[in-house]
Formats: sequence, structure tokens, C-alpha cells
Amino acid sequence: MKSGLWKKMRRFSIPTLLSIAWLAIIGLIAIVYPILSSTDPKFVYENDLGVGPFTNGHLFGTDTNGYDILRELLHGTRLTLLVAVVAVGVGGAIGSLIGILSGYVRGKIDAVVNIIFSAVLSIPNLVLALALVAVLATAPDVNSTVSNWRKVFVVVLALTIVIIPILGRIARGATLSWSNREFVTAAKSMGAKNSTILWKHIVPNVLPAVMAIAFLAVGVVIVAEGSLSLLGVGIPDGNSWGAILAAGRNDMEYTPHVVYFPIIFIALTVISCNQIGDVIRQSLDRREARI
Amino acid sequence: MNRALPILRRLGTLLAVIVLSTFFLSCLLRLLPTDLVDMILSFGTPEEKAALRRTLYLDRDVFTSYFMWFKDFIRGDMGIIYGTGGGETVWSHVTRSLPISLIIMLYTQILALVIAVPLGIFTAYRAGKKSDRIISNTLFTASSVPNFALAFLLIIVVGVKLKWFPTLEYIGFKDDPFQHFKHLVLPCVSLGVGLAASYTRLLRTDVIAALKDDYVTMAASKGLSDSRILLTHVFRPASVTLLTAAALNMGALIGGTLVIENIFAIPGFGFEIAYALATKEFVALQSFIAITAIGYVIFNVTADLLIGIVDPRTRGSR
Amino acid sequence: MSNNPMLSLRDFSVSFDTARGPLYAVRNVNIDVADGESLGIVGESGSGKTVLSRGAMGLLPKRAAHRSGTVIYDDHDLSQAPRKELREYWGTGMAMIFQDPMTALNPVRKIGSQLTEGLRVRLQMNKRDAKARGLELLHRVRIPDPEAVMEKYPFQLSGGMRQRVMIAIALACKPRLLFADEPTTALDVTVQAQVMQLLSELRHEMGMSMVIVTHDLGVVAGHTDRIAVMYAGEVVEIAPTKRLFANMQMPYTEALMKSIPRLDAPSGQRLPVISGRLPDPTQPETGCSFASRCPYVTDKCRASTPPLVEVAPGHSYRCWFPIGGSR
Repeated sequence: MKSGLWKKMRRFSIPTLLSIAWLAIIGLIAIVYPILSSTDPKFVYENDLGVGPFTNGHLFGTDTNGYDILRELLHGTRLTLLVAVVAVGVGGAIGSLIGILSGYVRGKIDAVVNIIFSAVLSIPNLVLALALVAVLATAPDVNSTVSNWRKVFVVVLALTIVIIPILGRIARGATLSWSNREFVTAAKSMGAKNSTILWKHIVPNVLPAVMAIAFLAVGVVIVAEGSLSLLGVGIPDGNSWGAILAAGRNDMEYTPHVVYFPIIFIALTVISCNQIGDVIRQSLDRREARI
Repeated sequence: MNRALPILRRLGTLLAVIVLSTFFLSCLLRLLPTDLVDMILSFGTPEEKAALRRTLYLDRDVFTSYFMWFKDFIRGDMGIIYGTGGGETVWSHVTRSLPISLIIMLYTQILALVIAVPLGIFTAYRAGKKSDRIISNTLFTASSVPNFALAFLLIIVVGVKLKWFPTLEYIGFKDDPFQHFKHLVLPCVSLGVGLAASYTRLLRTDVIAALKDDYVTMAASKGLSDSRILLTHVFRPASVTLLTAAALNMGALIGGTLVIENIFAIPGFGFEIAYALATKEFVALQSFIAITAIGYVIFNVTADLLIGIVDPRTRGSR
Repeated sequence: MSNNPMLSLRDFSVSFDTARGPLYAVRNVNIDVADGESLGIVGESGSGKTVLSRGAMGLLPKRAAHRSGTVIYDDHDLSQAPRKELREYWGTGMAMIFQDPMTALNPVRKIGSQLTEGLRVRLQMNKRDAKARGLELLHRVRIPDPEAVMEKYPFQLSGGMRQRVMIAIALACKPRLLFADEPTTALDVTVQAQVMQLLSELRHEMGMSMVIVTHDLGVVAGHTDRIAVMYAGEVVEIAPTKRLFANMQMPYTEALMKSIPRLDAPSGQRLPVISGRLPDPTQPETGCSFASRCPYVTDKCRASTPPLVEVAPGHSYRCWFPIGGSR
């Protein structure tokens, strides 16, 4: 078993292995860091305001508020990944369900679903997320404020809604092409139930295609979350990479490292997701070519 | 008749998409946890509030109010910006800011193509060689870097440290052409690099495929020069892919422009959207987003039509 | 005008670099094509006949394909000529018809522009003259309504029409030597005969030489002066057409012959097939290359390679135990 996994790993190129390693590291940080670390990410080092990297034990330096950047980033990893994984996971599940069923039954229902998908997709995804966040994160009356948890929930909800038609359309397209193949016709002619055909023949073939795009979607969501933060409606108070970046941009002329490190984290994660998505897509193409 | 039918069907779908997406936005406004009228006129008298409610068609049911809104919208009557005391119309903000964003997107597309076309062809001719591998891998990485990340890097390194280009403000072409371009270099590069990378990748794949095609060998056997074959036989089919890619990337470019305008303080459409968002100008926001969606749809249809012109095989089937 | 052949290949070989080492697609071929002659090159797919014709013309990608030996066209040695020089001969001197007109015609350009571009670039014709000549060419390849066809795209034409268009394009600049690579394989059987007939007529009208590459002996039977049979990159038998059919020496030729469907055969009878596969071209073996599939194989065939021997003027073969000889 172990050697089999090793053999599989050996087949991957170095960039792919690095991507897997990076995602594994930040995944681990997201799970473990908040449990193990007892220090407050917002601890203010009053004597080290805005110092550069490698100063006084601050590996990534501090910002002008005296926050340790590395600590903030490690702390922000959990929320950043949570937003991405929940949005893509939930949005992908709902989208796939709608897409697969709609592509399988075809006819009028499918036409309606397709037009609704097109309509939602006709709003560029960042603009749609903005609209959703703007509406949902509005306080019930002028004098009250919106709690931070609600802001986070709204960001996740908005990005989930953005993901649904993206992955839904992929699932629908894959279902349309797979349900036309001979083995599905054969199964139908032998009187197999629709649920059996869907579960045994369609889903196993559609899911890999959705998976490949899902990795790309994780990248899209992380970028969108960063963009929302930069526009001032993302996750509040430096609790995600995008939020740290948004907080740091005002002082970037004096403390550019406050901008560099979140950018590096975001870029590496997006690059890794795209790389893995690309590898999955290529292996699918190869499998397709063999059939 | 046969030729017109697919076009009509397409126009029908297009209209349905536009109506659905704007209706969706209209419904979204109803989902506001608070009353829009109370928000705008928090200290108004009940009579004033009732009047505003009528103006915004909020006293009607969802469908009627949507169609009343849409009727006004296509006539250019998009209401007013309430925060400024009601002196400015939404339409005046649109006409002021939209051209700036369109210019930025146009420059970005041109920049991306200027980079992508030679690189795509070069890497295709060198497919598998070291120079191809280096360029292709770099581009793949570049296409994954978020444009705001690139923008910050450029601002710090090229703008603040080297002081080569300004990092803030927009200058109109008529006011000062030189400064106009100078101010747009960093925004357009931030937006264009990722785009150029994805175009290059697609073009490379297409040119490689075309070079293996018999019709390229056939063209060579006529005694045509390599550059002529490249231009007339390879590039034209490949440009279909470029158009498709341009259409596919347009949504990302619109979103990117929105963020980049805010980073570089360019008073374009994205800046207006962010401003409306921050000041809770929901009436203006609805029209702004509707315009974005309609523009995006129209761009996609235009790309489709252009593809039909370049590639006759797709005529009627799309 | 010299008496030398129009095209002369001497010791001509082509190899490709593959992951498993060099692949020898064509090995030490010696072939002449006389002025006005029609030569058939016959062999199954993978025998190297397409590589031979493209290699002789110089159309193979330089980086991937290695050519050796000499190619003399009209007293010019082209074996080492750079592409720029070769281009001077393409279209006007040598031209080629490709197997599948669907892929050999550019799908996104009109027939007219593909037909006239050679005329305009190579013969410096102006637009009007080129169009007039294009119409004349289409008329010549018996295309009805040439005016309309000029404005059409390849996908709007039938297979036979497309092949006629390709013939017109190849003949546009009046080449003296025409390579036809499986000109009829992609076509329906009834159209095949028409296209072959057309090619023969055009050859006589224009007085050009022609090399027809095919896997089907039946296709070339009535349209060639001589036939070369290729197997595993080598010419294994070459003879005047009539003599080859009457007096073949090589067991492989016999096997090819038997695999042609015949109208006088009893119905229901199975066509004989040549069992086995071509030898791996990356692994040159000793002995006769056909040994593994030959019904008459002996130990000698496996041990040493038979030389090309001439049995009659213009008739050579490569076999230790020829069919006509003592066995």
C-alpha cells in the first residue's frame, strides 16, 4: 500500500509535488495552529512597530500596529481555507446535484436550468459576490452593527452561490456527454433503474471532471475573498489572508513586507490549486483519449 | 429562414438571460434585511417616505416593480444618487465612469494579445525544447497569480522604489496623452499579464495542433513561405480559440478591473461600484450591476458572431 | 532535354527519432521516375510509402526526420538543399495530392483563396488572372459550377468534389511531377474510379510524371507504367505493371495480389489476409524482412538478407526463393 502510494507520487512532476506539499502544509496549519498556539494573534509588540522581517524574532516582521505578521497569517489560514473549502464543497455539491439531474432528465427542465445558470453566470463572479454581500451584510436598522460572524457567514454564502452555477454547468455538460454513451444506452435497454444508472454510470464519470474544476474554483474563491477584503466587504479584522492584505495596503510604502507575505501565501495557494486541477484535467484527457 | 433561425434563437436566449439576471438583482434588493426607504430617508416624514416608495416601485409586487424598473432602466432613467442630496443622477455617474473602465479593458486586451501572439507562436514552434518548457511553465505560474497581488508588487517595486510610473489617479487622453498612458501602464500590466499567459497557452496548443495538420503540409507543398503559411493557414484557425478565450476571460477581467481601479484610485466603473457599496447606494448599485451583466452578455455574443465570421463551420450550429 | 530521369532516388533512407531509438521508415531505396512516366508505389500501411513520397519531395519536418542518400530532381541534387531552395521546386516542379482532402484543405478558408494563392505567390498572377485560371482549373477537374465552388468552404463540398479541388490546387502551377498519396482512399468506391481516371487523363494532357502511392494494387493497375512494391521501408519488387501482374516473383506481391477482391471469385469465399504484422521499424533484424509472415519461409530467409536482383530488364525483386524460380 505504502509503496503503491510512493510509486504514484513518483509519477508526478516536481511542481505538482510542491503544490501537494504546500496545500498539505497550509491544510495542517489550518487545523492544528489554532489548537496548539495559545498566543493571541492580535498581541501588540509595542517596541516593534512596523519592523522588517527577521527582526527581534519576528520572522515576517510586524505591521504598524505592532502585530506579528507570521502569527497573523498562520491564524488567518483557518478562515481563509474554511471559506474556500466550504464554498467550493457546498456550492460544488449543490451545483453537481442540479447539473447531473438536469443533464440526465434533459428536456424542458434542463433548458430552464441552463438559462438560469447562464443568467447567474452572466454576472461576473466577483460582481455577483459583491452584490450578495452588500445586500446580506446590511444591518437591520441604521443604528445596529453587523456581527463579525455574520459577515463571515455572508461571505461564505455569497461565494457558495457564485460557485453553484460554475460547477453546476461543468457537471451538466459532463452528464450530457456521458449519458449519450453506449454503456448507458445498454444499461437502459436492460431495464436498469434511473437511480442505478445515475449512481453507477454517470456519477463516477462526471465527478472527476467536476473535481478538476473544483480545484480551480478553490483558487477562484481565494482570489475573490481577497478581492472582497480589498473592497472593504470581506472577512473583517485581519482574520484571513485577504483581510491582512487589505489592512496592510495602507502602509505599504513604509512596511511593504506586510503586503508581500499575504500575497505570497495567496499566490502560492492559487498556483498549487491550479496546478493540481490541471494535472487532474490532463489525466482525464489522457483517459478520454484511450477510450 | 434556415440561417435566421439559429440567430433568432440565440437572441431569444440572450434576452432571457438579461431579463433573468436583472430580475434576480431586483429580487435581491427585496431580500435586504432592512427597508430601503427607511435607509435612504431615515429622518423623512411619512409622506416623503410614501412618495419615495412609489418612485422606487416598492409599493408594487415583485414582478410589476421589476418591469417598471426595467422600463425606466432601458430609457436611461436609473434614479439618483441619494447620498449627495439627490443632485446627481445615476446615469451621469455611468457616463462619466464607464468609458474609463472600457478603455482600461481595451488596453489590457491589446496588451495581452501583443504579448501572447508572438509568445504563443514561438513556443509552439519550439514545442518540447528547453526554451518552450521554461516559457510555458513561467506562464502557467503567471496565469495563476491574482491580479491584485501583481498590482501590489508593481506598485511597491516599480512605483514606489524605482518611481518609473505613477501609482494613483487617472488622466484623460484629451488632457494629456502621454500622462494618460503613463498612468495606465501599471493597472493594465497588472490585469494583462495573467490574461496574456492564458492566451499564450491556448494559442500554443492550437498552433501545435495546426502545424501537424495536413493542410499546413499541403500549403508548404504549394511552395508558400513559412511566414505566409503561418499567417494565412495557421493563425486564422487559431484566432478562433483566442476569441473564445477572450470571451471566457471577460468575466474575470471585469472583476479584476473592479479591484484594480480601487487599488490605483482610478474613477472608473469599478470604483463607482465599490463606492456605491460602501455608501449603501442600493438603487445605483442595482443599475451598475445590471449594466455589467448586460455588457458581459453582449461581449460574449459579439465574440460568438466574430467566431462565426472567422470559422464558417460554426455558422448556424452555435 | 536530357535523357536522365525526372526524379532519381539513390540509396534513399529516412529515419525518425523516437523514444525507443531511431525508427527506419525508408531504407536504401533506389527508384527512377522517367519524364512522363506513371509509377505506382504499393504497400500496406506502415510500409513507408507515404514517408518515401513526402521525403522525396522534402516535405518532412527537418528536425524530426533524417534523410540520407541522394534525391535528384531534373538534374538538381536536392538531398541537402535547404527548405528555401526546395520551395522553388514545390508547386511548380513537384506537387502533391494528399490522402484526406478534408484535412488537407484549410477548413476556414474559401476554396477560391486556397486554389489561387499558389498562382498569386508563385506565378505572381494578379487577382483577376488568378481567378480566371482557378475557374479554368476547376472546370478541368470536371467540377460543375466552378464560380459557386470558388466561394464555398471545404466542409460544404462532397468528398469526391473536395478531392477534385485538391487535384486542381496541386496542378495549379503546372508541376512536372505529381505525387498522389493515397488519392482515393478517403473516397467512395464509385468515386475512386472516377478520380483515378481523371488523374490519368490530366497526366496525359499535361505531359507530367506521376507517382501514385497506394495500399491497393487494384487502384493502380490500369493507371501506371511501372509498380514498386514496398515492405518495411524497402522496395521488395519493382517491375513494369503488366509484367508484375503476369510474372510476380516476390511472395509478398503475391499475397497483396490475393487480397484484392475479385468479381469472378465464388461468392461467400473469404478474402485471404496476410497474417502477422510488420516488423518493428525501430528494431532492424537480420534476414528477409518478410520472413516472419512469408508462407514459403526457410532458414536461409531468416539468416541473411536477400539482395535486389534483376530478373528481366526493369524487373527486380528481393527474395531467395522467387515464385517463378526453382523452389
